Formats: sequence, structure tokens, C-alpha cells
Amino acid sequence: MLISWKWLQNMVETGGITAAEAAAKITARGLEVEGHEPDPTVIGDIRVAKLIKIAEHPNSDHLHLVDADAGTGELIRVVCGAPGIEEGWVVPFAPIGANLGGGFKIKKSKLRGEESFGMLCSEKELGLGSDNETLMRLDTNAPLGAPLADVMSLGMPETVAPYHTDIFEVGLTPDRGDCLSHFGVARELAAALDSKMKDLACYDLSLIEKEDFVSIESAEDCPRYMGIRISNVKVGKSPAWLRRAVEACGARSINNIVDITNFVCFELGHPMHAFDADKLAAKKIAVRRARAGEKIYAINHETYDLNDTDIVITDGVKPVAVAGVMGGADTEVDENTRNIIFEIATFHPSRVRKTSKRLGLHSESSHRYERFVDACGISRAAARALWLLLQTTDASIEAIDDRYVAKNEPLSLVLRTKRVTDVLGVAFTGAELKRYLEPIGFVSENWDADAIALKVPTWRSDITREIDIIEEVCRGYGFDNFPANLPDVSMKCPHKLHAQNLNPTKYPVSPNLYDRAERNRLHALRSALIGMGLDECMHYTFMDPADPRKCNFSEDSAENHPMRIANPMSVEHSTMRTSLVPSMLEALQKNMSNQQKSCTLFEVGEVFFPSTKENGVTCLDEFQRLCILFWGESGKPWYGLSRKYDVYDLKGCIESAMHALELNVGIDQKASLVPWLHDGIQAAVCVNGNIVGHFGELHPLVVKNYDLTGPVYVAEIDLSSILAAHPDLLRMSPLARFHFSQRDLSITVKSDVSCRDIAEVIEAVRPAYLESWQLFDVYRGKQIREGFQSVSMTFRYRHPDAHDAEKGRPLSDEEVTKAHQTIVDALNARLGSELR
Amino acid sequence: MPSDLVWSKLQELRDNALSAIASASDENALTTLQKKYLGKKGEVQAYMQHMKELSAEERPKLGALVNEVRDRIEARFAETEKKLADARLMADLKLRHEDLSLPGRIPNRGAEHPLQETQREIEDIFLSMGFEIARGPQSEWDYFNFEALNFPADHPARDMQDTLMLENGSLLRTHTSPVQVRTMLCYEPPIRIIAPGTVYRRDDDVTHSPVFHQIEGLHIEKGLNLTHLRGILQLFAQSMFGKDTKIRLRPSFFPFTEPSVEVDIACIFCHQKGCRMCKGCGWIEILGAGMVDPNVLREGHIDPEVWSGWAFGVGIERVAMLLHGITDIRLFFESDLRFLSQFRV
Repeated sequence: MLISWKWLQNMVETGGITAAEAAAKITARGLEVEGHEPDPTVIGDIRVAKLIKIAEHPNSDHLHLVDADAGTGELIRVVCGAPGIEEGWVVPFAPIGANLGGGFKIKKSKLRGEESFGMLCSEKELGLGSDNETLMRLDTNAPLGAPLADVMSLGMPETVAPYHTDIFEVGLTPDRGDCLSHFGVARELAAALDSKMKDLACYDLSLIEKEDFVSIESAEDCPRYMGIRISNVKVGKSPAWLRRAVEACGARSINNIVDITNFVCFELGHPMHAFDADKLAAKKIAVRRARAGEKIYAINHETYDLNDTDIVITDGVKPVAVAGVMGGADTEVDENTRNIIFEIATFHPSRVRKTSKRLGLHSESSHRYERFVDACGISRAAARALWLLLQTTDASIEAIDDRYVAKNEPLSLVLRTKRVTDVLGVAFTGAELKRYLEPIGFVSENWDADAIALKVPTWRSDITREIDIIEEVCRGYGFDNFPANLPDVSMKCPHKLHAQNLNPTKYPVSPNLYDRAERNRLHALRSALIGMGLDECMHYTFMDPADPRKCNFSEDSAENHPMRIANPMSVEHSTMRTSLVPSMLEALQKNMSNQQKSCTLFEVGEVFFPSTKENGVTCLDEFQRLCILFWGESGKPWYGLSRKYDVYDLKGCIESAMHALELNVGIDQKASLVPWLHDGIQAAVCVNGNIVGHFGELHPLVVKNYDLTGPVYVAEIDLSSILAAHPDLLRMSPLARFHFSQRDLSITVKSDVSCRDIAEVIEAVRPAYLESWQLFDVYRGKQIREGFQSVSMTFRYRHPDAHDAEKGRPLSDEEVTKAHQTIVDALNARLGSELR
Repeated sequence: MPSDLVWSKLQELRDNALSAIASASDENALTTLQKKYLGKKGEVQAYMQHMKELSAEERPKLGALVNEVRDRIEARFAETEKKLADARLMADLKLRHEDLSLPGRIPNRGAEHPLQETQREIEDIFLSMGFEIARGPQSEWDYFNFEALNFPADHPARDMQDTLMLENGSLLRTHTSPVQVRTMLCYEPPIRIIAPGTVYRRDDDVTHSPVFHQIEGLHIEKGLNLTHLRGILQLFAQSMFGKDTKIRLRPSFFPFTEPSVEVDIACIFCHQKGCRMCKGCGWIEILGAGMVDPNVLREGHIDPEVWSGWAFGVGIERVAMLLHGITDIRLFFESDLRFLSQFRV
């Protein structure tokens, strides 16, 4: 909402405070001034001048040579291009040296050979308004040579600001419908300044003849409707003060009648509407619900279908306005209008809101009605509107019909002084409380040391309870004046579960405190991955419905049945993700196009699957997953070679990360395949024998679908069992007292024999003296027969009781050789291997 | 040969040997000298030949003399040998040199996501004050997200939070505040929790993302008041932004708190001199808070005349953007390595 500082000053005694000080005061009252356009006008150096003589410019068909009197005792020659100027006009004049802002300073100049000693200005050139057609006209009584600022109000209506400067953008919270006007803001400012509101010039409504021409079907829909019939108006361009006022508030000037309705809306917060009375079929106003099938052609030139939830204004036959939202084009006021009916009314807030939402029509009017308009303020708004109208046109105020069918009575509430202290932590006396509350309209009815009975101002629909008044006390005292204290509480909060189920809904509610150990494990996991050089990322939790297909997820998998968003912002964000993989691949694609040579990323995040509970409710279950991506090559260091990442980087990363959680994971290449990974290069990740995820090389089709350059290595792992696991405490083993003996072994074996096959054989015959073994080389190539590979391992032998000085001993060469031979024989026998 | 003569010859041999050894220029020369004097056929051994020419009482004397000479020579050998070896070590030292301006072998470093980092830091501050972490689902029901939080149906307050709806009739929570309701329905007061999580709004521009993150706080005890809200949030601000950080409370509106406040911190960039970050006003809006509305407490089966509470909600993106000077919220979710890699430490 735009608020003009000049307008505010017109409504409240502000003393000598500056616009910026006022903005701070308003903000401190809870009406946040989010923007402050400092004075855009540049009128400081501008003087009043009269056009004495106008002659044609000899070398131009549009320029004039003007001799102007600026009260200096001599005529000043100015070359002027404004059209339609006449001798005798009194206008703003910028003499040589005048600053017009933006670094623009008036200098003596020559235009097409004629000298010019200043500039005659339009309204727009001075930042006073939008009019740039010709020169700005001033009151002919203005003293020549006087500063422009001093004469602006000459010839203007009283209690109306002639122009506007310092526009505040006020961000109002939705509870403060009472502040959606200059009047509302002024009232808060007056309270902050401990100052008085000024009176506004108004028309006396009691002078108007009463007549029946308004009817209301439902008092709930329309608590009050005031119609005022006016004849012989002249519709035309608004005078400058009116035009500037509505423009300052961000509206477009239409004509004097429409502008006055907007002026009153911006000034007092009461939306108004004007009908062309001659276009009303039955010359009367009937407020009722729309009937199914009715339509309205609105002033925005769109046609809307109405239904029985909409309140409409009818002319006795058909809808002529959607109540509180928008008027109809057929009864609109235009330049031929002679007779009008003003509407000043209130409508049911949530009905206006429903209609406005359904029709997609948001207006200054609906914005205020949704937030509450005080029916008690209607008379003042009407009186002000009529007075303003008569400043712009002759007219006869013919008749008034004020239907006030549901009175807005002030609410009575009791404020306990002890309660104020309990909530705010500061003690106030009754007198102090009154001092904070009365300036904003509360009326104290009676009070003692313990409590005050108060009448709430009718415009404060947001105050319905004692606690709401306590907030007003905060405002009065100043929110920032409260001291800081720390509560005296026990160190640990017990968080005892309720004995009975208090959940009033059919939706599940379960104990929701996060296990500290689980949080620590998650942090350990993330730290481990970061420590391995992976960058952590976070993606939107949405998914493009095309993603499951692009990722090659099988048709019947849960991944292919995401929960859809009913009102998505775009197709790409229209389902909840069922996998972390798609957004990870998109991230890779973007990084590839950014010339990255490698990309190692991980994300820990939720995936979502719909599930129907026992009571028939479909919920969206969340599962936390980990996704890891390796792609590209490590940069070439000066001491070595660059290396392409491969699937063993990914596997090692997973194993190492799980190791950080003191968890041994199983890698199972014989588990069933997932279709988004390469058939030959994938394996399942298992915890306690259960598959928790998969990793491997991305399927070449998926690589193509995401426009990637392969190979890409991806893992996706469910974290629930991993984070919930409680690994045993690590226990130390006693240190060995005797040395080990080491034997290496190189065998040639068929290529399809896996490392796992070898391990199984070794484990099966494991000699007592074998302490550990490790594979250190696998070779396939020229020196090995086709279809075979060479596998090299190192074995470490030691006496099993080597930590014990009594039972243990060094092994003899024969013992080691015998143990080693057991393994060699077993490998040869079971895998057909040969020593190399 | 008379013993005196033997003795003087031995002395001569000793002196020659000692000076020859001392002046040996390298280890090869030393080896040759060792052979010459101490070898099996060396000059010292040669005196032992004279032994049989001596009388029984003179023999041991000569033996002792020869041994003494041998010991002196051996000692000189050892001494010289060490000196030469040390000299060689020192000479070798001059031959080796590494250019330590070359980059070190740094293990790969990754980056914690700035949102995760910020969330962790905020969590740790409240955990240290005895708060527990609570969680709630991202797909919520109108009751938990709005109704129980005192949002009237069809009220413009709901427009503050434009909502994404799901096909099953639930919605994507627009704030972490529904966790307040869930926690009150589960646990008896007192309650002291924070609830971090993902939230959603139908919004998309430089400072608004449809997916973003908040941390909710809820503290219910007997006797809590507005000054405690200020006290704890001041402690938080000082832990997060520096020990001298001042905070300011401004009136605001949230349906689920009354009174409601916006909390500003004194600009940490210009120390209130006025800068671009604080738009010249010296204060930066950091979070929303308030005393829990009695309607919300009642919805949680808590008597507002007995218990009172305060709550807050802080946007994690907002804090991270502030701390790191990030100007576009979308950067958090685009996984652009040019962005992420800047947070490697």
C-alpha cells in the first residue's frame, strides 16, 4: 500500500518530524514501511511566472518565444515548446541555476538561434504528477516570483494535499484492515506521536432527503448499504489535486467521479462505487446472491459466470456489480453520464474473498473487504465523498438511502493487569494501560487495580480477546523496550508422552523427537563423504513426471508412481520425487556444460511414496536416502598422472562412508538387477542381509536420455536402517608379541573367476596360522593367455596366540610353507588356477 | 733388540700411523692404511715377531706396549672414519634440494552444503540450551498447517503462504510450525524443541524458492513471558552472529502467536553505520517470533492460564545468504560446482 507523507500531514498534527522519522514511527507501530521514495519533486528553486507575450519562433514550427514576468522587475525571454499556451497563464518557472534533479541544471542556452534564459515547466518535469501535455497551470492570484511550494495550495480545496511527496510503501499484515488507508495510518502515527487528528472537510448528510431505493436480501452478506442519488453531475478530467492524489497511490486517473471513489478509498479505507443511474434498469439497488446462470460483463471488459455463493448488486433486474469486487461495464460512469448513484457499503469478508479468488479478480476494493471494513465509518466516507465531488462539479444531491441492517457494535472485553504482566514480563499500572489504549480508540468503562473493562473500537476486527489487547499494550509501550531475561528452567526437558491419544484427526501423529544418536550418525556419514572430497548438494524435492522413464525405472516400480501436485508451478515440478537420481543427473548435465572436468557429488534427502493407511487415508511416506555420483577424471597433479574415476572409486567411497558409521556393508553382485544401472557393472548394497541400495555404472540409455557423456557412476542407498543401527562398541585386541611371516602368491585363473570366488575358497580352507590376506594385483593382457587373468595376493601368517608370551611362539618356516600350500592347493583344485 | 729400542721404534710407528690416518683424504685411503698398520701382515703385528727374541719377563711388557699402540691407532681410525663419514653426509646434503613452492599433495576436499552448515550451527546453539530436535512430515494436512495454528478458513492470512496442494488432499507444509502442533499432541508440557525442515510455497524468484528450509522453535513452561523470548533469541543471535550482536523487536502478525514480533539484528556488516545489506537502516530482519497464541495452546490441550510459551521461525536460506553474501536463492539448489566448491574448507 502506498502512503503519501503530505497526505498524512494533512490528517494529523506531525509537529516538525521528517518523513524518515515518521516512517520509523509507523514501522515501530507494526506497519512496516518497506520502501520510502524520498521526495521526487524538485521544486525548491522553482518560481511563479506569468506569460506576458507569446510569439512564434522564427526558425521552428513548434517552439515559441515567451516573455515571462517572474517578479524580477523585467521580462525574461524563454524559448518554450509546450503546445496550447496562452498569454496570461501563471506557470512554474525554472530560472538559470535552478536544479531540476538528476544533475540537470538550467543554463542559458540557444535554441535554433534564439536565446533562452530559463525553462517553463510541466507537472511531470517537476515530479509533481504525470501530466506532460503542456505547462502546469497555477492559480492566477499567485504572487509572481514566489517560491512554487508556497503557492501550490492556492485555489485548492481545503484539507486536501495539493501534491504528494515522500511516498511510503507500507507492508501491512493481513490482520490490520483498519490501516488500509491514510486515515488508518494517520491514527497510528497520531498515537505514536501523542498527537491529534485533524478534521476533514465533509458534506452534511442530514441535509439530504431520504428515499427508499436500496434493498438488502441478507444482513449477513451486506450489513450496511448506503446509496446516494446525485443528478446533474459533469463528468470530466479530474482537477490536478485529485489526479495527483490517486496517482500517488498507484491508481490511474479515469474521471472526476471514479477518481473521487478511489480518493475516498485511499483516504478513509472505504471502497466506493459509482453507477450511472440512468443505466440502471429499475432505478434501484437490490443486494442479493447471484442466481445460477447469471453473468456479468465487468469494467475490465471480461465476462464472468456467477453462482449462488457470490453477492451481487442488481438494478432490480440484473447484476450490475459483483459486491465488493468489481463493477459492471454496462452501468459504468462515462463522459455522457449526468446522474449517478454512489455506493458506500460493507460486505461479508470471506464471501468477498471466495468470489474474488474464484473469479481471479483482485481489486483495491476486494482487498479491503476481505480484511474487514467498518460499517460505522460509512457515514464519514459518504460525507467526505460528497464534499469532494462538489469541488469538482456542480451537482444536486438528490436522495440518500442508508440501510444499516446489522449493526457493528463495539465489543466489551476485560483486561487483567496481572495477565499483562504474566505475558509481557513487565508490570504496568492501570493508568499506563489506559494511556496506551485510549489514543487508538479503546474506551475504558471502569477500572480498578486488578482489571479494566474496555470497549474495543469498531474498526479493530482483529481484537476479540484479552491477549489481543495485550499486544496493543506492547505496541504502546514499544516492543523494543522490553528487557531480555533468561528463564529459570530445568536443564533437561522431560518431554513425557501423553498417556492418551489427543490427536483429533484421522491422520497419523507419532512421537517426533529426533534421536540424538541418529543425528550424530548422519553427521558422521556426511562428514566422511565431504572428507573424501565429495561436494554436498541439495535439490528441489520435486520431480519431472518424465524422469522415471528417462531414468529407465521399471514401469511397475514404486519410483514410477509418484504423488502428483494438484497445483504445480510447472510440469518439471509437478510430482514429488521418488528417487534422488534424476536431479543428480541434471546437476551433472549442467556441470558438464559448464566445462567441469569432474563431478563428485552426494545428496542426503527425502523421497516420497504414497501409501494408504488402515483407515483408508492416503499419506505420503518419506524415506531418507543417500545418492552419490562420480564422473570424470581427477585433475592431473604435477607429480603424477590424471586418472578417470571408475566404479571402484564409488564402491570404495560407499565402503569407507559405511566404515565411518562402524558398519560393515555387504556388496552383492548376484542380487537382482536394477534397470537404471549397467547390467554388468552394478551391485546391491546390503546391511544385515537386506538390500538397502544399489550402485554401479549408469545405464548407457540413461546416460543418453540425460545428454551426458559416460561413464557415470551412481549409488542410491536408503539410510533408515543404516542410521538406526547401533553398532557394537569397538573393543581393542591385544598386540602381537611375535613377528609375522609373509608369502606372496600369483596365480593364473580364468577371467570369469571373481575375487569373491577366490575369497570363498580361501575362507573355506582357512589355515589356523593365516592372520590376513590381501589382493594386490589383477592383470589381464598380453603376457596372459586369452580368457585368463593373473591374480596376485599377499598372505600374512602368525601364531594365533601371538599376543600371549606363554602360549604363542614364532612360526617355523615349515609351518608357514605348509599353511600356504593348503591355500595354493585349494585354489588350484577348486578354481583350476595355476601358479604363475 | 733391546726393549728400549723396540719401544722407541714402536713410538715412531705409532706417531707415523696416527698422522697418516689423520690426514687420510677419503675412506679408500683409510682402508689402505688400516691394512698397512693393523692388517694380519701389518706393521704393528710385525713387532709381535720379536716376541720370541725376548726374555720371559720382557715379553709381557712388549705385548702391553704393542697393544697400547694398536689401541691408539684403532681409536684414531674410528675417529677419522666417523669424521670422513660425517663429511660425506654433509657433502651429500648439498646435492639434494626440493622446490617446496610446488603444490603439496592435498587429499581431495569436499564442501558441506551452506544450508546444511547453517542448519547445523543453529541446531547446535539450541541443543546447547537444552532444546531437543523434533520432526514432522513435509506433506501435511490443513489441520496441522493452518487450522490448529489459528488460521481462520477463508482468511487473507492464508495468502501470506501460497500453498502447493497434493493429489491426496494434503498439502506441502508452508512452514515448520505444524511440528508445534504435532509435538503438543504427543508430549506433555513443558516442551522445549526446535524443528528444522523443508517447507514449500508457490513462489519463485531471486529471494523466494518454492522449496526452502526453516527452523521452528517452541518453548512451553510455566511463567515464560516476552522478556524470555527476547533473552533466548538474544543469546541465539550472539552465538550465531558475534557476541556483541544487538537485537531489536518489531511488532508483526502471525496467526499462531500473540503478540507477534519480527526480530532484527544490528547489521553485522556495517555495525549500524548504514550499508547495502541493511538498506541503510542499520538493522537486518532475521526471524519471526511471538508468544504462543492461547488458541494454539488450547488446540494442544494446554491451559493458557497455567502454561505459557513462545515460538520462533527462522529461514535457513535467509541466514546463509546473509552470512555468505549469496544474492540468488536458486544457487543453493542448482549444484553448480562453481558455487559449491567455494565452500570447501
